[in-house]
Amino acid sequence: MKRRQFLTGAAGAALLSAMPMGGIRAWAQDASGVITFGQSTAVLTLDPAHGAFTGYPGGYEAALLIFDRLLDFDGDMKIVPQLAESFAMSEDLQSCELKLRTGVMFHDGTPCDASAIKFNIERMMNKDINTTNRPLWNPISGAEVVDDTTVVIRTSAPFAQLPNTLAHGSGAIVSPAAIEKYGEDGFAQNPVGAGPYMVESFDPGQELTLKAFDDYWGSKPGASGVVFKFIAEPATRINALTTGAVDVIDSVPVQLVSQLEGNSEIEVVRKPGLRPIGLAMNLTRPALSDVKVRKALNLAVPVATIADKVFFGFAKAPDSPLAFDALGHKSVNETTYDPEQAKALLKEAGYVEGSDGMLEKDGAKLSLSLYAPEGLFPGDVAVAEIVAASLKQVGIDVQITKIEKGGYWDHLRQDQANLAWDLGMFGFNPSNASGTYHLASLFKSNADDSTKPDVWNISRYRNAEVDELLKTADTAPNEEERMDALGKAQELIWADAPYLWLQINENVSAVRKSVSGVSVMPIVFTNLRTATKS
Amino acid sequence: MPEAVVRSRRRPARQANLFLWLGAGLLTAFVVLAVLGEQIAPYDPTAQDLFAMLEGPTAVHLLGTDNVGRDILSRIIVGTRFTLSIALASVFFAGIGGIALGSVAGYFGGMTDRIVTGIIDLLLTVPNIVLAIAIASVAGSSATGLTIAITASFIPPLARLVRGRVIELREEDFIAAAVTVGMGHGRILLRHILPNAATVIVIELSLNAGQAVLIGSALGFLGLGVQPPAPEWGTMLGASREYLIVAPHLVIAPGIAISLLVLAFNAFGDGLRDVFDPASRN
Repeated sequence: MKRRQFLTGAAGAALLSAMPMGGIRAWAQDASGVITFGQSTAVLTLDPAHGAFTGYPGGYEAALLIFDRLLDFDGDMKIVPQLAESFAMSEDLQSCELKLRTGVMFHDGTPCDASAIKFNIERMMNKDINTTNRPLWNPISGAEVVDDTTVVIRTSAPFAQLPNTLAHGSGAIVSPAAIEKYGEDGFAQNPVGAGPYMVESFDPGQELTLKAFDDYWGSKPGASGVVFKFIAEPATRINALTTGAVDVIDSVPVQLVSQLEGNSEIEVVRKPGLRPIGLAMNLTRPALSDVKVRKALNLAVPVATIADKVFFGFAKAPDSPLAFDALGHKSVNETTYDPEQAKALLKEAGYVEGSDGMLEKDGAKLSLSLYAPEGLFPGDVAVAEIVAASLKQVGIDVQITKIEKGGYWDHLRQDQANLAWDLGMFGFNPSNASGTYHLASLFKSNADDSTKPDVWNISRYRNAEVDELLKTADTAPNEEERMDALGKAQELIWADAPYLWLQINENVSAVRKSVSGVSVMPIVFTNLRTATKS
Repeated sequence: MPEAVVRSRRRPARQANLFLWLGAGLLTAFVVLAVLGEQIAPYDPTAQDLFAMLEGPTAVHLLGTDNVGRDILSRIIVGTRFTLSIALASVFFAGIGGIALGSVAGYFGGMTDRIVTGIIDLLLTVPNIVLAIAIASVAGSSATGLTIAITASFIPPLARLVRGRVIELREEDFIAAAVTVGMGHGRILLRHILPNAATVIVIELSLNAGQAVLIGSALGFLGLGVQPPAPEWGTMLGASREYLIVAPHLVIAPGIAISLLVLAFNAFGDGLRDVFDPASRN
């Protein structure tokens, strides 16, 4: 622990020595207007294919500035045009016609026309080149150039989420000439796009310097340049922001927000995330196969109080299996804290109080094993401890197993025979903002429950009606019908309670007031596309 | 002149006693806390109150409350048992392992010595905290895992120390005498060599105990300690790191507890050395 304190101190000292420069820059408010962004994750690669932009989310945040996409998400995750002026899905949801803007140039001066788009779509379809985000790209079967400004993208089956894929970060349009020049392996370090900023210098893992692209098709970039700096330690990031060494920071721990709120030069930017955190219940366990027990668990934990106290109000208890800003979210029901009703439900389920006050059925104690990672989800261990204490209040014994975060996913995604947990903390971030994608990933029946889950249905949840609704939500021709089906699926899943739902955390960034236009997107990203520096 | 020499020897001796008593006193206090634990803790160390979290020291909670509203004083008191028993157990097992290896290598010499010292030298190249982390991540977050990890990191240096002392003693006349009268190796080792090496071993072990507290807490800090919600000083320190600025009392209490226990073992060890081994005082 001494070493860490020393390192923090050393980093602080290093920052102090860098401070005069940053300070002068802030006071002078020169016309250069370079925005510096202190990121919690390093930018390593900048190619939508080959593992996509890394590290997450730092790489995606840089990509938002370098690359334009056919479509974009606005602040509320609604789909809006970007390189495409307009788009139209066909009746059968198997193709999408896009009208492109004219006169769009890549940073290298080559035109971003229909043939460049076709090149990009085909590149992302290729499983050998594009290895990640496969569920988003698998349904696409081809792209056709109709004329210079018209492209048709086809899918092999009805795929209502096609626009979400195109608006997703991996839909970044790259310069075919640059791929030719640097090769498939070299592009990630020499990215060329058609976005508002182009790369000036790139030191992977350390610093990325961008400068405004003069021939950008849209409105002129708000800054002459943007510098992405990797600063891992939250306290160091905050110091850098308060001294003016950086203008923007991301991932402010909620317990440190109060430090910034009193500072008149700094504004805290917050946005509820898309990732509902919860405890997946292992439905293959006899106790948890009973819906009464699952409902009782949900009633026994004061989730609203957790959101309010542990996260200082920077979190909310969910009202559906989807986060508030996910596309298709429907408010199903508020979470309620009612330990008495929980006890009554457990009694109905056949559990009686044993001599030690803990519940048992047929002589067997109701004892659950809770797996939680350390440092993977906000406040993970503290929340697990609160859940365990709350469930003990209604007579359920909970044993916590804390897992090192690197190995955590393997414990969750296991063959049925190797599942060691009854309750496993989990949160899914639907990076294309689609509620259908989210629910299908978590609640669509697995092909075979005994092997590893197909996607993330680690609970082994199985409801034929939900499967049917999710299919409708993905393939029905009209949007209202799709949203209706998605809404009904949320109601059914909520009623079946295969999770103990906990909280939806907010993403918190902070910005110096000399910079405006910074937004935090529900999918974690801090977006500097529209940022300007006075 | 002889008078002056005597006096200069006496003063440090008194100081040594002071250290010894200070260490012994602190250790006794910690042992009492470890044994009684829950009986003297003002609250249940796992009882939470979400409406009284991160509170500073008050008359109700003398050391304040932590990030889920648990009484820190109670957690420190109950956590003593874990840290102290890990320190003592690892020192005990390291003692057995180190003495066995070191005395066998030192006494028999030759090939045995070369193999044992080869292994010891190899292990000595790995810093003990790194070795402990490696073992703890395999053995898992538990008292057993931590004890194995710390024990393993103590055996090599201890074996080396014992070996050196045994080689020294092996050449003494009384050992040669024992050999000539036909005494067995085992008897020579147990009756004549080890009792003469005991001082060095006891002192080294008592200093190791302080080291064990530090390594154990460091592993807890890194997330390899106990399973929540059980209290452990290093884990408490690690969990409260994020609250360093808003609630510094979360870090201060376990920090002081760790320092005091390490101080207790070190003072005790230094004191022992000064009493039993006056020659090394300078």
